Amino acid sequence: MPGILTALVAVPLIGAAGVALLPAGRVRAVRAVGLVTTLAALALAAWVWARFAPGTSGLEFEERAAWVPAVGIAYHLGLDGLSVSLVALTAFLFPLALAAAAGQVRDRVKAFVVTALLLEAGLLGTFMAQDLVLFYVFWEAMLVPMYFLIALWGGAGRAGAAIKFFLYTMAGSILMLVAIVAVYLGSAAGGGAPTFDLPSLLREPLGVAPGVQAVLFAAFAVAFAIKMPVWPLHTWLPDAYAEAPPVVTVLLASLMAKAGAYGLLRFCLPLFPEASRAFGPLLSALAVVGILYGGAVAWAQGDMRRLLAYGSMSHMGFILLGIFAFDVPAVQGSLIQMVNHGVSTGALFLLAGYLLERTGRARTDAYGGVAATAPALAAAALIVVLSSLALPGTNGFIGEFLILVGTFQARPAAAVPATLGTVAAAAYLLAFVGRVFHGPLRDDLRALPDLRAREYAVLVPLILVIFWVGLYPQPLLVRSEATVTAVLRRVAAAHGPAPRAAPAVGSRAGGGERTP
Amino acid sequence: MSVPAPYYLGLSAVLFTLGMAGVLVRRSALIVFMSVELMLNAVNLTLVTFARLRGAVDGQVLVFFVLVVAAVEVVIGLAIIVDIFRSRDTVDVDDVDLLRG
Amino acid sequence: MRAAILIPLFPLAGWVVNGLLGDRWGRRAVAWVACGTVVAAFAVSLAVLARLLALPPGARSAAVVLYEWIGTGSVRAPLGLLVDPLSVALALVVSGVGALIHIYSVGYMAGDEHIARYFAYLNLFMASMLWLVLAGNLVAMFIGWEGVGLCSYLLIAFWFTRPPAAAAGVKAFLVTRLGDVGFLLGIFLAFAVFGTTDFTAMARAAGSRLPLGGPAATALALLLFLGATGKSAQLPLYVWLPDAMEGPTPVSALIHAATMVTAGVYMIVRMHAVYLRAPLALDVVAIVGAATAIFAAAAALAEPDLKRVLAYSTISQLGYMFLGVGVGAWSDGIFHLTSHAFFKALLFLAAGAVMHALGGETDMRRMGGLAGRLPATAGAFAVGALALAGIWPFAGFFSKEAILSDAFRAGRVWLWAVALAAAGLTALYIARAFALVFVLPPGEGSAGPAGCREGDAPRAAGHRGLAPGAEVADPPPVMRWPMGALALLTLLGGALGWSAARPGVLARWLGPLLAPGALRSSEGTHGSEAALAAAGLAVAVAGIVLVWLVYVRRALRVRSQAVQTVLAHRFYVEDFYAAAVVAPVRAVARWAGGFDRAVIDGAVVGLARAIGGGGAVLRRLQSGYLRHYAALALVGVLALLAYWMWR
Repeated sequence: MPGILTALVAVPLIGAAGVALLPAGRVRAVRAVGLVTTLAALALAAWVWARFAPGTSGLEFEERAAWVPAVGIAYHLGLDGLSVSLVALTAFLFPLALAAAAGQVRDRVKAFVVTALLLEAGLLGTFMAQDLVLFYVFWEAMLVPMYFLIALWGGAGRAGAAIKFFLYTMAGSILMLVAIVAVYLGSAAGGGAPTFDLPSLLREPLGVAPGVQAVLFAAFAVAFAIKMPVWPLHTWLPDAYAEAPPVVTVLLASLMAKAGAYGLLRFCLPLFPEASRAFGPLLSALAVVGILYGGAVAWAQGDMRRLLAYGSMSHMGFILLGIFAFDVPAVQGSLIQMVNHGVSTGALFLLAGYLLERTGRARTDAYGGVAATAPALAAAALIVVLSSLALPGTNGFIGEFLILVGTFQARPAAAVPATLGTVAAAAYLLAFVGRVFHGPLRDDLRALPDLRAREYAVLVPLILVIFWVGLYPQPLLVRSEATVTAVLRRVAAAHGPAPRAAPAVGSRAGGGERTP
Repeated sequence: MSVPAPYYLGLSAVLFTLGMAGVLVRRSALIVFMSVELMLNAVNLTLVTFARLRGAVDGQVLVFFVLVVAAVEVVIGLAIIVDIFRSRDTVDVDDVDLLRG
Repeated sequence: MRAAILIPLFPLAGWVVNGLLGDRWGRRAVAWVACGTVVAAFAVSLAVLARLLALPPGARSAAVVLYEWIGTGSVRAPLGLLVDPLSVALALVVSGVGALIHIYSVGYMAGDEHIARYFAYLNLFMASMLWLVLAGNLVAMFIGWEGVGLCSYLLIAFWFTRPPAAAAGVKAFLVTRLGDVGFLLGIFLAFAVFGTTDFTAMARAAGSRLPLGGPAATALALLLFLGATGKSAQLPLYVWLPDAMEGPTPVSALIHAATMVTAGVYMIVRMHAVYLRAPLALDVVAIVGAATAIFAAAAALAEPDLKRVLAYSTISQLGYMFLGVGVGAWSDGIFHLTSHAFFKALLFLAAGAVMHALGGETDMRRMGGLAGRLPATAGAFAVGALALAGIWPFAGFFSKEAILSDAFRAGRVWLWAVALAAAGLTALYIARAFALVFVLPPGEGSAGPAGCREGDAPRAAGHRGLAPGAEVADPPPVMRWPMGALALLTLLGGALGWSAARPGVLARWLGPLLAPGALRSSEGTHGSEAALAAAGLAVAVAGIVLVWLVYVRRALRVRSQAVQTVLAHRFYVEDFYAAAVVAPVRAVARWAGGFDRAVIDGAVVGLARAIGGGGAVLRRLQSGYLRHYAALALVGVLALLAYWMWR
């Protein structure tokens, strides 16, 4: 029986169909339908988020229907603490992105709106799917629209960037598909019917040898790491971020990157707890390298979107670090940082888009003194930059603080260099502010217009969220706490390779709570 | 009395070989096409023979599939040949190497 | 006590109101809102003080928890205040001096078109600073700690179209953030050790959780001190403060002299229970303080820029405060903090009045003989300078002597000697500054020790320096009154620390909070006390006399080219940082950028090329002739048949 989650996926699809039926020439109507659709999805997501009962680790709003029962594939949607806020974030950002797109995407508007709505459906489904095959379908379903968004509406180097992005992520996805099949086959080892259903899979440890588990973990992790991206699998990112239209970069950085981090938490940790522990130090090290490396490279960039792209990668390093600290505050920090990064980085790319829209200049040294002629734009940029460099009182601080404080308890050797990353973030972000907004006002920028009403409408909600999460993050934290605790208990219970033996008490509890 | 199975199979093999040779050596696309049909029907003959031998119907069912595919193939293949003839004024397969890498 | 939350909330409201609406209001409304909120904060502080005074000394501490801010797993950090004698004393100093400087700013910034932005930032600073001193735990304090840093950045770079101002702002933010890494790690360590960062809880548990002199206590104390060196501009992270003088002068007075830079001292006193468990860290604090005191005093000697002299002076005086807390003299550290807030704010405001009169000029070599033309300003500056030099009966004398004698009585004779020498240098540089600006005839200053700050960007439009016949006058009353009030405080502030019987008023007020184990030894007699004070006074007078002899009388010519060069380059510390830290980091970043393109992306693109090349080879098989494909298929079938037959 279709429920609210199905409606959440269906609304963008219906909207896309509706837009497709409109004549392409009626640009205003196309945009309006797109916006209304995303707003409707936002209303649904907000309702779900508000109704979500914190304190339980299990799935809520669950929906299950047989799909291909012969091989154990089900249409199974559900929300728990890991996904509820990400669903809300997705639904929150799409109306803003579509509103901002009005100024940036002027040709083939109808196709753009349809593609964007398909992407939203794919993203929402990715965050809600509880069946491996269903997840994979949604995972790929968001890749294809994104390819077209880059390839059709991007900048000069869009073709190469889009192909690089597509092939890179596809390579990871294929590995994951193989691993999904292997997990399916392994799930029959206990004697029951094989299944792709995630809660059922988690009820018992996977019947695969430890070496195989490590390989499967790696296959999943590589797919997610590419999406995040994790150093050194990141080189599609600067090209894609810089060539995509700015609003698409917003979606790419704010939401698709989160799908990678979410996948690690949703699949890698619970399905392969032993392998997660074994790979933990390696991934923590990669996270630290990513933080510092991304910060350093960002500082050396002259193109503002490449600067922000590497900065975004540096910030994703914090999220990865928190996940593999296996500590409740750290993972909670990672989850809340996913939301924060989505808001802050999204806002940064939006602002970069506004600048590009006004001047067409990509390099930071082509600007100067913009704050003198566009003070509101500069003030908005400053607030967003401050949130991005984790100033206390803004959302970024909550996430990075929790990640670092948790990591410090679990892996102090990783936390210390990672804390230096906050200086790096300040360095490249203030360099960005300094080059673009400060300094003598260039003569050719004197006529630069300040923020327009439409742009205020996009930025003000983002800024409100920045302060809200920064000052009162508890609503987000309580929603995820129980699930995070359950996942980590599962990981902690996995002592050494004993997959075939009777499941440990802790892991049974961890999995048991998830059963419907 | 019925004809023994090896005869059918032998006929089928001869037909298949003829078709094979036709595909390989003839230059006219139409003849190549007819040769392919010959091969398909040789296979059909084999299928029916074995179905009969085993006393099961699945081989005969499969023949229907092959027939349908062959019919479809005829439609598409002839359309392509007509199209090639229109654009190139020839149906010689040696003159058409559009798929060369 | 819940009313205490109003203390930071008032200026915060001022920030919101002025930030959102200021541009649409008149300048008067902006000024009224800005000053009114700070005065209101001061009034609330006074009310809270009265409330505390009504309580018995042992019960003067109240925690006010607003709400659970961060709470997940084992990490809990409520948003809360701690109202106790220490925080209220600081709140009074901050809001009091802040209110005076706000009022002064109304006159000083009268000609600036961005006055709304200025007062919005200034109010945000007041809110952050008051929150910093009132916060009830380390994480909540970090909001204020970073907030003041942010406002410092914003206000230094207030005139952001000037490249030096913008660069100085970024430098200040980055250098203090480097220190804040230590502060953050200290917070993490505090969570690991205590499970909380609540000040009261930590103070109570420090004895049991931290073994005396153990690695945990030392690490925690040193990490937090690293944060303090950044924020309070101590060696080795002091470099941002002289550059911070690019900001408007009232900002320098408020943020970079009276309040923000003293946050590190306050934090150490607040965490004194932890520091008492780490004698080694306390020694480091004292040594860094003394070294900074003499280093910065020496650097101020050859500085030609009036504001930068005061900046180095601030660094040096902060060194005294750290020396004080480093020998365990918590209340004397706070005493010097307070009196320094009075007299250094006064000096900056007087310097601002000079700049106001000279159209923004700060180079002392282009000043001179202003005493006659700016009598009120000269008087205010003189009061501040005498207090800074440590002349009786000004506040600076009492607070500096207190720290010197604490260092001596704590058995740190070497540190005492260094600090005494620094006191001599202090008298020297401030007397030199006074002579160059107010006494000597114009142009004489350039004959003094040569500075080398050529190519200074113009600070303001219009004429600069002493143009002949220019109108040079004392500032308007709105600026003169705050200076007068601060001069009065400088004159009377000594009473806070010196009373007929030690401990003084401030020490007794802070006593219940800081008493346990505060001073290590107090076997000093009144005789030695007097001798120490006399030594300090003598050194100060000697410094002033020396300046009089060298600059005014020209009786002495002690000058060595090498010493001057070293002093003018401030001991080459900044050049060293530029070469040893900034340049390598920049090079690494460049290199990483190239590495990313060439190696990591190169590997990816290389893989793609290799696959493409392999395809180019294989495509030769694709002839396009139907019969080739058919023949190949035949061969394949035959091969399979052969395999199955001869298997």
